[in-house]
Amino acid sequence: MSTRSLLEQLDRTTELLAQSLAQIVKFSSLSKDSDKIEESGQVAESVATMATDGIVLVNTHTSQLIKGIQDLLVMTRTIREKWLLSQVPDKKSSQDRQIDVEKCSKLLEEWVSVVVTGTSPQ
Amino acid sequence: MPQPEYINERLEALNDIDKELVIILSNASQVIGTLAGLKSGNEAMKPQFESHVKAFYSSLERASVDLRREIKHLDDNIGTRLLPINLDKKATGQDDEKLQEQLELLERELKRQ
Repeated sequence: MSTRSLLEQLDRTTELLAQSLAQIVKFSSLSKDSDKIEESGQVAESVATMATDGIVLVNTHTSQLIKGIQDLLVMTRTIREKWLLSQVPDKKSSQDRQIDVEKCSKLLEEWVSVVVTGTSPQ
Repeated sequence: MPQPEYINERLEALNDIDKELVIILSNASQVIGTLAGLKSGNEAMKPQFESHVKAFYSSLERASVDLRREIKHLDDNIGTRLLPINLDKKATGQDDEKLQEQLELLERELKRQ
């Protein structure tokens, strides 16, 4: 995922999270409004429908809020993976490897002289 | 495996963002809790409700700004500390580790001879 798409996703998710809480508060007051409607003598069925709609919408926005936080957690994990798995090997480690090769050559020569030819090491 | 200092700083910053994201959820839960109290007619919970709403938006702002900063750090380091975005580095350090292990073994054997 490129950094541009990460930024776009961050913008989208932040906006969604900001709206979700406002929507939850807004729709949770639907049942309160429905009480007023009932007092004014409207049909009880429509009151029940509005209250149910309110609950369903609150549930939807609550799920959205949790999903948004999950998406942001996944995003931090993606960034963490990039830092850990896409590092450019530094020069120090490649120098170490050259030293290792020289050391390897000396050790192998020593090994040949000791084990294969049977002479004592110098 | 020890990481360079700069990468450790970035990982630490990402951990802090994770904590902030969890705080957002906690604030949202407190907002809904106080909202339930308000709806049951407890007007004394209004200041608490307001403070939790403020805390929710402040945490969201902090997490969003910090995450944006981390994405910028990532973007700035592509090509210097990080490989281009579409390249996956294989486990290149594995060969060196194996070689080192074999050298140590050889050295031990030679000392024993």
